[in-house]
Amino acid sequence: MAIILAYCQLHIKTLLKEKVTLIWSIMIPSLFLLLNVNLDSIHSIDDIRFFWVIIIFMTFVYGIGMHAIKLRNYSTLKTYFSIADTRVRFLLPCLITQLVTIIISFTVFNIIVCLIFPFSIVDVLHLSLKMLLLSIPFGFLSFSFVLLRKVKYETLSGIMGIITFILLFTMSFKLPLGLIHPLVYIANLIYIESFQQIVIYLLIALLCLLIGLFSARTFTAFSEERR
Amino acid sequence: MIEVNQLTYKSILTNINGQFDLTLNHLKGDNGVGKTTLLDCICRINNKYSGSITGNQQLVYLNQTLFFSHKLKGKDFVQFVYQLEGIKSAKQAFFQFAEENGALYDLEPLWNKKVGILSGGERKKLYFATICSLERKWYVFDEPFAGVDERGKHFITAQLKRLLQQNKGIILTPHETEPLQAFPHMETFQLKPNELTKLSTPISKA
Repeated sequence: MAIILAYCQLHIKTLLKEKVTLIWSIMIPSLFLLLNVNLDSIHSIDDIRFFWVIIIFMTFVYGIGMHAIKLRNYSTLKTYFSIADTRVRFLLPCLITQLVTIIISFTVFNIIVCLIFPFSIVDVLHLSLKMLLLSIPFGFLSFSFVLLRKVKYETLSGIMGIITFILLFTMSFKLPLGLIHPLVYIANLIYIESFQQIVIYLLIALLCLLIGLFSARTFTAFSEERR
Repeated sequence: MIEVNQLTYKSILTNINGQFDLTLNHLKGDNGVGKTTLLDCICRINNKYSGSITGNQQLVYLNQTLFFSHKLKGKDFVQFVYQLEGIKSAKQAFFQFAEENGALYDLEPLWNKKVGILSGGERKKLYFATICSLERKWYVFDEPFAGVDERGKHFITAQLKRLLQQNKGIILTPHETEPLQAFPHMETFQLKPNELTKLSTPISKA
């Protein structure tokens, strides 16, 4: 527990040192809603769920997977694990810190949504938190980036930028061959009800958890770029 | 004892064997021969090697440089390390350690300074002192004297002596051998490509 608290405190201190970046990342979904969206296209809370999933996706990818790779490539993980081999317990504080960031983002975003639209704040909070809870296994999955040993942070950042663009661009597309868009799948998690849907979700969640834990257990903190 | 058996990592280390006893172990070798890589393997930072290393569970490792957020302060590093160890009131514990070891004058100013503006020597002092204040069986130091002023070297030497008096094991890889003349009894190892040789004689007498 002391180790998890130590890392959480360190992550929060580091986040607070980057105030502009932090405020920008919290505000950008709300700004996007206000500036780029045709407000007539939002008729119910259902239409808001795509904003929540984007917040979750961006925070998990850049705040957990990419963050861990950055720390490894800058040899910061080497310093951390030189003091105590805490690689397995390093994952959980990353996730906790990013969950806190998402909750803050959600709070700001949901308040703005409820100021603009006649939605119940209780319903909005309930559904957004339900989505967050159900998406936690995908946070574990994002840690699997650390298995990419030789990739440079800058290169991966560029690749993730392209993947993110494609995922956001295709969110409204109907994919061929019955394929399910990953972001749409997470956005629709708040509606799963049938036994079959629940079983499929549980299997996917278990797989994500196992991949994340395997990554945390086996990854190397050894930087290929500097020592 | 730390025992290294048939250690191989890429083309840098091949079939390295060696035993480090619970004393002062000096690892010598030319630049680029793989000293840091060997230490990274011993300290479990690099776990992608073949072969085996035993007896390396209770150790702490000083890297050549302190890699820590440059925007955080010296106290944030100490608090983080002490929190990992479950030590409460980091400031009190760290300053007590510094005072008992005659380093309060050097370490106190670093407490509220950002890591990014510390000089290389100041960073090394902060890092070294923090690590030495932890309780371990083994202490591994990669280039501990590099970039450190004379008073810093004196502090490091005194700490090495204190750890040895407490029957701790030390492995260090200094290119500067002058401070090691204070240690008449130590094991010296020579790392060459594909070979780790134990040299039985001490490098100097006090």
